[in-house]
Amino acid sequence: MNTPIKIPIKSSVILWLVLLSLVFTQSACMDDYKVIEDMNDTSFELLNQDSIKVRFPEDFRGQYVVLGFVYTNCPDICPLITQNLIKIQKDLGYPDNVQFLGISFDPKRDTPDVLHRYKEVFKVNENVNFLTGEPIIVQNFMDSVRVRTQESMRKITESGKEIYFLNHSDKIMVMNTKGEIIIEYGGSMPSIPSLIVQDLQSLIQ
Amino acid sequence: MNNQTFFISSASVRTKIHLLFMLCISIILTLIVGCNNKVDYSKSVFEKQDTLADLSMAGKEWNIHVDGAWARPTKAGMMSAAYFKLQNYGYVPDSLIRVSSDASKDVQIHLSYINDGIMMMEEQQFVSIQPNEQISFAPGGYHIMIIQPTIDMNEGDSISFLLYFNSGMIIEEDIHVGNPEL
Repeated sequence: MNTPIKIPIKSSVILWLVLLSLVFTQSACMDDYKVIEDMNDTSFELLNQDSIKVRFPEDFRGQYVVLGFVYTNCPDICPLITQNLIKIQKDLGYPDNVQFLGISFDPKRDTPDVLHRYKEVFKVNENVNFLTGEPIIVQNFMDSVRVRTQESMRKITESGKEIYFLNHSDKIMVMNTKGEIIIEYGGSMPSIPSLIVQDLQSLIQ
Repeated sequence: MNNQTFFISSASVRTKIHLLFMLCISIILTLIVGCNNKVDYSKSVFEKQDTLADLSMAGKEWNIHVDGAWARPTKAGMMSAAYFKLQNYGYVPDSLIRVSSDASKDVQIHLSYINDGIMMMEEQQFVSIQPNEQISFAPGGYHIMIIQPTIDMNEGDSISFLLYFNSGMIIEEDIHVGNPEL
């Protein structure tokens, strides 16, 4: 004779509540980190500030990557994006499994040598790299992450220097260990580092 | 005769009374005019005091201060920006129209702003500041662009700037190189 297991009503309600909360938590986590862009479709051959070839995203597989988009001739906004990358790294406690990339959308001017000097100015450690490359490759890369740029002004200054400025998207993105972009924020805002640190901490744990 | 005398004497008395009356009137008028003059005089002294007060305030009519100035460290030939707060404590509006520096021949006033998700930047011919107003030159907004400085701007250095105003006033400011946000 099979005797049915009797569960008291109170316990069954608690059990259901626990199950439901687990389901909601799981779905909430999945919704938070939808894939924005799968970077595995294409491989981009870029150069870092030391003229070392970097294949994106292959070289970063298995690691989280925080990407900021900058150009070194930008005196105001891009330094904010760069310093946000630095703040995120610092607030995370300089983790080994998170890489930080500042990718230039001005490859003609931002040669590896220029990026090397830019890196020196910000005194960042080896887990922060700045990337450039062939203009056409960089353009394709920027298209794939929907970073828009447009020359806003070009002129010869009183002292004879040619200067130009770019209007540009303001973004910091997070790529997961599988090469998928899962987080995208405004890059220069002061509140961004704490949000990304929170997200990364929940992802890394 | 007596009647005549009476008439003469009464006429003389009348004249005297008339003269006395005229004298009183002129004294009163003189007093009134004198008092009025006095009032006018004190008024003019008061006005004079006002004018003197204005003159003593002349130095304070234009009273713009620069506070919390800093410039981003960079290397020679790259880019930097300087930031500060302008506070107009004076009684007259003015405009910052030009900035120069010993770090670069090309220093411009710029404004960064966001439009449809795109960061933009525009050179400003002037930045107006009203009495009692504070204008922040801060990252992501107004900034002094230092184009390709001729020297390295290292943390702890001090760079000399001249801020030119439309009124003809010039502020000389030594700006500290360093990033308070890092």
